[in-house]
Amino acid sequence: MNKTVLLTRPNHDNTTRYLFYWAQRIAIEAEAKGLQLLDLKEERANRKEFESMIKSKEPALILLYGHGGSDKVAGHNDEVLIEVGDNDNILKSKIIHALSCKSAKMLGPASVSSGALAYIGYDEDFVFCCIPEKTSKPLEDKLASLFLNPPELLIKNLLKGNSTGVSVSRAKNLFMDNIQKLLTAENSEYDYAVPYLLWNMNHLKLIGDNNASF
Amino acid sequence: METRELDNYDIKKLVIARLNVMPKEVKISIGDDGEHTVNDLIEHVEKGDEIGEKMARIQMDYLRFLTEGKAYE
Repeated sequence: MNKTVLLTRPNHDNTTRYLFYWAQRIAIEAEAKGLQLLDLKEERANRKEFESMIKSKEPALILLYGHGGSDKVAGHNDEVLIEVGDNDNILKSKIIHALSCKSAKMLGPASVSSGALAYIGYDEDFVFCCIPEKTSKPLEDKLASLFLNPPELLIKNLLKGNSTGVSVSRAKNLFMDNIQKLLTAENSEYDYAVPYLLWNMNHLKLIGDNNASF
Repeated sequence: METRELDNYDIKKLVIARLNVMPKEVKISIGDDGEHTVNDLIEHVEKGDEIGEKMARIQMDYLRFLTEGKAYE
């Protein structure tokens, strides 16, 4: 089994800055597990390197962080990395997780039709709340962590070899745990975040084989 | 054609009231639309534009979730 992971993590605005630091924790986890990690960070999250790494290293798991649309996911400075009808066929035989907006709407189904094993992403905008004074230290932002912990748990499950179905289910459970804790706490500081957590939970989608594993 | 939540005046008022309970310093990142302050979002709801409509869908989905009793299952 090919144990190579490809990670793309742009860092060019505040949203991608948060994702960049959260993705760094995944990079550390993957390396600690002895996996071969292809870490395309910041300027390296460009289409040329992305396609080249897929062709030459054949990663079985692709983790995309960044802005997206229903038919695409972008890298650094919003350069499109993958797009329906253009290069989505390079995802053949891969498991893909995209922490990106809307890509499970069209890119997910199209990539699975082109032979991807499974595509996990959001079919609507991924929304998160954050505290401005934590911008320089995103990992210390407790409000943002309510939103970013579930996808992190999902990816950690994939890295452990759990199936796509189990991994998605555990992430949805964590979203729900976060929601219930905020709703039932006596003095919940962040209860206003619940509608956005619910939105992300409901729009997290798995397309393709729910038994696929890395 | 999809029904727009914000075409209903009472829903618009409700969504604005819901946004007003958020601390004003919090920022909300909405994908490609970037980061917004609470006051920005209230303006979008008042205008009834695409971002405002998204806020309405988020808040109304939440209120329906509560009324269906799913929060405590």
